[in-house]
Amino acid sequence: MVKVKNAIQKIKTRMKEEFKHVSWILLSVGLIVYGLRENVNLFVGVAKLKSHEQEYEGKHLRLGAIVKEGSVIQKKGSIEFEARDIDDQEKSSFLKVVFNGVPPSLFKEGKAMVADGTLKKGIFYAQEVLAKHDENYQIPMSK
Amino acid sequence: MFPELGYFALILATTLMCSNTVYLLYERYWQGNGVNIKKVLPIYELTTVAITVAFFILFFAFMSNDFSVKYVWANGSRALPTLYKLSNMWGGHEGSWLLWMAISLYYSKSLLLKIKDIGVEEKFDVIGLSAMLGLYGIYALVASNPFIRIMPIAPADGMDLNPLLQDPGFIIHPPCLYMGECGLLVIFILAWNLLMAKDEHFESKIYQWMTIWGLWSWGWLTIGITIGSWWAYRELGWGGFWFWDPVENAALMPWLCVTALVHAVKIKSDSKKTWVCMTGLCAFILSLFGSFVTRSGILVSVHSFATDRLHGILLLLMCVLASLPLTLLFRIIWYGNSFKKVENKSRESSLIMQNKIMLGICFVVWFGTMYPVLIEYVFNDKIAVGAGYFQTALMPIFLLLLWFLDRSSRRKRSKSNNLIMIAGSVIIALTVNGLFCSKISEIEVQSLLFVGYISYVLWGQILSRRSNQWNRDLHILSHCIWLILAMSIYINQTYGLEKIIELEKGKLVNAGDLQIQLEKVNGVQTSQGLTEQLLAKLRIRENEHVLIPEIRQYKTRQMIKSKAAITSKLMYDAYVVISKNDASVYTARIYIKPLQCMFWISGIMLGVIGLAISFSDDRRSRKRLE
Repeated sequence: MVKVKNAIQKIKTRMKEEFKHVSWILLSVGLIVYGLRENVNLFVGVAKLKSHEQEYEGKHLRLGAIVKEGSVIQKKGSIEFEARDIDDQEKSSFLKVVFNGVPPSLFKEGKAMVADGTLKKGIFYAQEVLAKHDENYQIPMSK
Repeated sequence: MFPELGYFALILATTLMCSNTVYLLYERYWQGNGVNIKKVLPIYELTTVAITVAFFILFFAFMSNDFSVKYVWANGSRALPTLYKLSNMWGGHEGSWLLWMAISLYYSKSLLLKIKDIGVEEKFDVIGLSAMLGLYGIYALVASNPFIRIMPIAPADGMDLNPLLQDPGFIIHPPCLYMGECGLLVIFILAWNLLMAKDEHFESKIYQWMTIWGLWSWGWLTIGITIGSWWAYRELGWGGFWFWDPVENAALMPWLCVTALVHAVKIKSDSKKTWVCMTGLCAFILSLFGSFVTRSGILVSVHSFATDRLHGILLLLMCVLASLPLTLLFRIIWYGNSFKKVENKSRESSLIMQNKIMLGICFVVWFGTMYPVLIEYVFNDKIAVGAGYFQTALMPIFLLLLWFLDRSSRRKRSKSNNLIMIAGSVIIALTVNGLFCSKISEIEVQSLLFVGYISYVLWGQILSRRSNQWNRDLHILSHCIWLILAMSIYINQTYGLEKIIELEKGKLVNAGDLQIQLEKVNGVQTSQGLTEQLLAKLRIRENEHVLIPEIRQYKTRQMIKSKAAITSKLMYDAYVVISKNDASVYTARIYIKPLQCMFWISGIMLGVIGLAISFSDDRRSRKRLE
């Protein structure tokens, strides 16, 4: 009888401890979900954006693309350019990007950039434009 | 001729380590003998010599501009200043791995020497150590050999070091970081031995070493990360020092684990072993995972270098192998009695909570880093997790951590002390707001409360100083500096200012509290290309600063780098980076960063204190031996 009681007691304490652990994990998972809620951007390319235009309309997106050579138009305090996909060898599909602000110093024609913003009627309105510095720390030639 | 010698040294080192592993396994499982360190030590010494030779041969190749070696060609150039030839060594993948191997070997050797001195060599298992070093060697030979030649004709000049890496910060950042990360291998082996240990004497010895090595690695990691962020701050021109980038997170996660470890060794209850093993093993696994993230290109990062699929696979394999002992640990946790109720002493439970919180932070950071990868594999959607995630998710955990830190020193606190603390923290919070807010109405309740709470905890730490032992004082000091660090980060983020202004030569531009004027543009020809030096006068309220940001051309890589100009004052940094869009229009980004210098100072000090405690502990343990 005592043995059984002890065993039950043991299980009880164990359960209590486990409960603590589970709640601990739940807390961190909760924080993760809470943190992820507003800080996740869908990463899309030009071709995908163009083919699913309706689906992406108005959503918060992150566009990763190459700035088309010779397409950058600078105005006072704003910039317009066309972007194409990184793996788009034929250079066939382009998307117009409008950004009210000054692009970073590494922003260049023919180089990669990342823009956060929304798609409205076929034009991508960027809230922020980031430029990546040359892909790797290594030279592009050795790739 | 010399590079071949280096290649040979690398092969020799690898063969020695691999055969050593086989020999140890044979001794252990066929002969049933313990390991004789005296037999193993010469092998380690020889390997260390071989790797050192390889390292210096590579260095010599850079100094002598031997562009027939592919790694030298890819990273070096004739025009590169001599100082940066040193950073060439770790500017690319192969060289940095060689450095990693060399430091790991030196550490392993000193660990073995220590085991021999203390005389517990029969019980100590070094199979894992040799196996890991052997794997490092194989990895170097298969995927990252720095001595490969370019056949048949050597190029006349190299491709130059990436301009962003041509910075004093980069000369010291990787070695410091590796001094820490490689120490994690030793910690891993110690944790592995602790897991297998059966008698208490041996266990207590391991705890001792764990403390010493843990603090040593922790100190170097802290310094390395601080200098790394200093480099990013100066070179990337984004006006920040931490971007929650995957590679930065990769360095942060082992740091969090080691922080947990150096506290876990202070636990006195039964669960000590579990916590020490857990944090020790995780630290090393996460450091391998970090190199996997850095070198495999699985995640897009601003810092990733030399990404390659083969690297990724091999490193992941190593990571999985290193995680095997974890399963053993979980078995022990499951069947062991580490769930015994902990006495609710505030110190004990605070320490344990600290460990849980550190691992929790680690998990949150890990999840944020890996979430894009998970989503891509499961849903085939590409997503990006913004810095906001880390800030929102970590803030509550950080507050919890503060609460537990305070709780550990709350015992025996008198009421008058409590009053002093509250008064002190109110004063600090108001002073901070007075100093950094331009208008009184801008006082935000949130920041007031936050700064106030941190300073409350800080006062609590200061008042908990009781004894005259300087060793204990160092512990308290490190807590204080950590709190100051946290506060300066918060103030930096909250009260910072950012302005983007278009400039024309000679014209004065007003922007709120700032005035900026571009006075002169000088063209200077350097060995690497044309540098435009822009003389800018920046006025912040009454103070005038003359700053000279630069736009540098690098001929060999055909890259243009905007070099930021920074004036550091004790209270704030003025940071100007100018880029050129058109022939005559310059765009200036101006950042005012309050207490930026405080961040560097406290980061470095924190690391130095870690090293100091490690030294003093080591000396004490030596004295006890004598």
